[in-house]
Amino acid sequence: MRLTVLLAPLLLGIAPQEDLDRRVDDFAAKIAPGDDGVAAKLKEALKTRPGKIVLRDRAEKAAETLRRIAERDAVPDYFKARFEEKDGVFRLRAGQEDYRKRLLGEAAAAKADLDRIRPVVAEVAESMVSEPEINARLKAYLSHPATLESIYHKDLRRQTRPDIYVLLRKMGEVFAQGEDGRFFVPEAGRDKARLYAKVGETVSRTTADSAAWLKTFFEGVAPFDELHKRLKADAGDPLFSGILLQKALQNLDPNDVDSALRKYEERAAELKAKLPEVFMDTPQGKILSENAAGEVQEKLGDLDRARSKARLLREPARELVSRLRDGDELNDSFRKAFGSDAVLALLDVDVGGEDSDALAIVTARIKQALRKRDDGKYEVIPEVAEELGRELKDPVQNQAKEDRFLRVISMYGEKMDDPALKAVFTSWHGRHEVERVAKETLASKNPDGLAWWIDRHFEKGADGYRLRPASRPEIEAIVAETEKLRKEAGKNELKD
Amino acid sequence: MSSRTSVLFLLLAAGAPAAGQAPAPGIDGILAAHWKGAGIAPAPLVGDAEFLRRLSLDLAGRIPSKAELEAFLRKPDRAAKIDELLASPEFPRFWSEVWTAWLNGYAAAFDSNREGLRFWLEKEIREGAPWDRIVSRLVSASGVSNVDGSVNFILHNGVDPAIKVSRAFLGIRLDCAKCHDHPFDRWTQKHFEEMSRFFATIRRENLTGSVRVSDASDRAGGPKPRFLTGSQPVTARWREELGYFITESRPFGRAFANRLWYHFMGRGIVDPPDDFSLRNKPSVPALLDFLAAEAETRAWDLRSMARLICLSDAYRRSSAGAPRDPKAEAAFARRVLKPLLPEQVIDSLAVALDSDALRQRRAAALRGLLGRSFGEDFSLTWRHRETVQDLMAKFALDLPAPPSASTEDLYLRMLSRRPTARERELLRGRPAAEVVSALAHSNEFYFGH
Repeated sequence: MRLTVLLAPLLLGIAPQEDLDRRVDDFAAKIAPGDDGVAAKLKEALKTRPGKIVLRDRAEKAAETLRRIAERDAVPDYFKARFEEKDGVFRLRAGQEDYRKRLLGEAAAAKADLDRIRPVVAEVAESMVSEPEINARLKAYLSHPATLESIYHKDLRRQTRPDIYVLLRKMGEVFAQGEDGRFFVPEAGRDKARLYAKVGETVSRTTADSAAWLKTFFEGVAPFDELHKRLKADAGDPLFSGILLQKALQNLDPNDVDSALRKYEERAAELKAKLPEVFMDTPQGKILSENAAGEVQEKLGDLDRARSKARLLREPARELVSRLRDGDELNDSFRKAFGSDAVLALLDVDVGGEDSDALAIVTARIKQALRKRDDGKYEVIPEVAEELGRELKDPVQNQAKEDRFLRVISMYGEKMDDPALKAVFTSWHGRHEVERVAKETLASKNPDGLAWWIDRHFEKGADGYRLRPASRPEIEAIVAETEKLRKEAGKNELKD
Repeated sequence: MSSRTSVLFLLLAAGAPAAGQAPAPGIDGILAAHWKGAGIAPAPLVGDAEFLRRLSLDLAGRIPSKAELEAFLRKPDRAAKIDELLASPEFPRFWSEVWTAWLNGYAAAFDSNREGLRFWLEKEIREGAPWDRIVSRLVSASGVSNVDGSVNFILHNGVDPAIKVSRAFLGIRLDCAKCHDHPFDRWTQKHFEEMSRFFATIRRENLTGSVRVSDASDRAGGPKPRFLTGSQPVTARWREELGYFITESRPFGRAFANRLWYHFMGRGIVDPPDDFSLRNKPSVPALLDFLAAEAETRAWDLRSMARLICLSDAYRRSSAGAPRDPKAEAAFARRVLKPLLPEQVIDSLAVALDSDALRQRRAAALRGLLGRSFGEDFSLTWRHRETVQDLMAKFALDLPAPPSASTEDLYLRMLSRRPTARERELLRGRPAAEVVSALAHSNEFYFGH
């Protein structure tokens, strides 16, 4: 059940109708009826629109069956792809060592986060009052052993350790995913993609150029105090230039990107011209004028937050870039742009800074929803009770459904010969990870109902497709439906 | 459809051309008979310059350049010019914009990708796809919004798609029947409900940054839908069968012909063009029947139908002269004024001022429009005019330098004519930029006439 809900959007890899039309025509042309009158009738029927519709109906029904099979087998397929089974024990396949390393690394990071959060949540759950009823419901939810893992993997992880989908949620209008799992810019999205690429290219180039200039400039600055020392150390980071220039891109009007980029470059030139004005000369080098120090301190704070964000987005950006199709110059532009921290920091993605710490997020959320009474007990803040009630409509039943699915993964986990992997696959984290990867794998599957249907009813010979004798009733039914549909279309109950 | 007999009759009655001749007299013969019966005197035909301006706006979405105008005036071969424009890349580009505005308006809705639809339409029109195929695909489209452009029509019109589909492809308004039986027409609430069921199988899922539209065949249970002609689906491919029923029905051909006529003439034979009803009859019924039959005979070919209409004398009737006469306009004896679409305004300014900078700003200016709540067919309303003026105000602030200092030259570039003696007098000594600004804001510039 849980898998169905999660995977439904991604399972429907229906071939576009135009492609299916061409394939139906191709199939019809290759039917070799010989003396078989039924096959000959099908060949004729498929030359008509109603005939094509009826066959596409059959193909789609077959595809739905294949999708259900793929969904059912998602977990077994995950393990088959990575492990060999012998005598009831699963061993890692050769060549899957990197996968193992990544999985264990992920598990360790998740465990570290969860170990910090768990006591905080447990303390709150234990100390909650039971009245009004929403308190009891929240207490039951927070006390369930799977709740924390579930919140972490569906929500906190995205924010604290974002994956490629965090980027795609913002860039999805530009990128589409092909059946090979790689990303490309579809024709209709190219205009917008060019805008993104243009901004990326300008920011990447301008910040690199400014950083080189700043580095040289700050070599002449005295290590007067901690602020000056830090400036000297950070001046050569293009991200620092990005912070100094970013104002030019605030409230960027997508209809007038060119003039915004012009301003960006002008601001870079202005920076070079005016920065020396806020420094005064001393025998040991330049030092900041007193008035400018406060603003510079503020910029360094922005730099810290931007660094945190860029650090979190580097890996998903690297993955996205590695999965872009080759041979498209726009993709090449994105490859360059996503290599720049200054570009990553500009993306409208809410990660980094204080929000990148899972414990800080959880603590903040608890404060938003609960208050501590004088007796030390927690209660839901009345103002948020209604909203919380909606979110927690039936938490225990929902959790039970999820548990059932995750337990199936444990059944594989328990058969692992590798103790480390066994621990992961029997943990909540490992099971959520399998769920996520299975979802991605299914997204790129496109069940071919037409091929399956043809294969079931026709034999392919040297002269073309020959009808299997057992399939005559199916073909007769198609021909009859074609005729019925043609007659339906001929109805005209409209009077002028 | 089985209207061949009536068409033959009409052709004979109106003085059918001999075999091998262009079929344009069909239109003109029918109109001549209609005018005679109604006692209407037709307006004179426009000259070559005005014809070219009209044709360029309708087929390429822009006024002719000065060079094109001069070349045409030297050799005014109308048929050749029509073919040249129909074969140009501007034709599919502009018509895809016209159809996109008509199908999805300018507003973004339900995460639909408007440019995806436009791009798909351009490709279809460029490749010569017949209208019945385009419509079938639009009605039954499935796929991902930023990859399969056709899906964005049904995605955009996700609330009560039966209403939009009926209006767009059949010219029938089911809006009233959504809540009650139509008070003045044949459509009942049952009609609406039965039509709406065709879309009950639609499954819409948000993906990362796009939307997937598909059909769930397991939803094809319960009462079957029913098309307005009484046809019912046989398989679970309800939307696909609806596309088939629509394009096989009589209203489809009539709505298509009427829509094309509306595009070229500025007024439908049934007007508004999406309101065929018992109370809103065609102004020239024989003409509608003729065009609908021609559309089917010509296999729903857009270029062929465009050629047929543009070669007719009806297309060349003048809008100038006598005061407005609704009776003559409804009978197409006089041309109706058409406000230009925003796309036409921008492209015409770019051609007139020979400005690549304006061309480059085109996409941005149009994107600026997308955030506004314009429905389809807004060219029918005064809102359109406000939009055009708004757009022009933006452009007027930053128009490129005039390509010429000569008032005469600027008139040819912008209005496809020379200035009158009075205009010359009025503009004497004025800077070229001022002349350009005045002409760019004139009714003559931003109306098709």
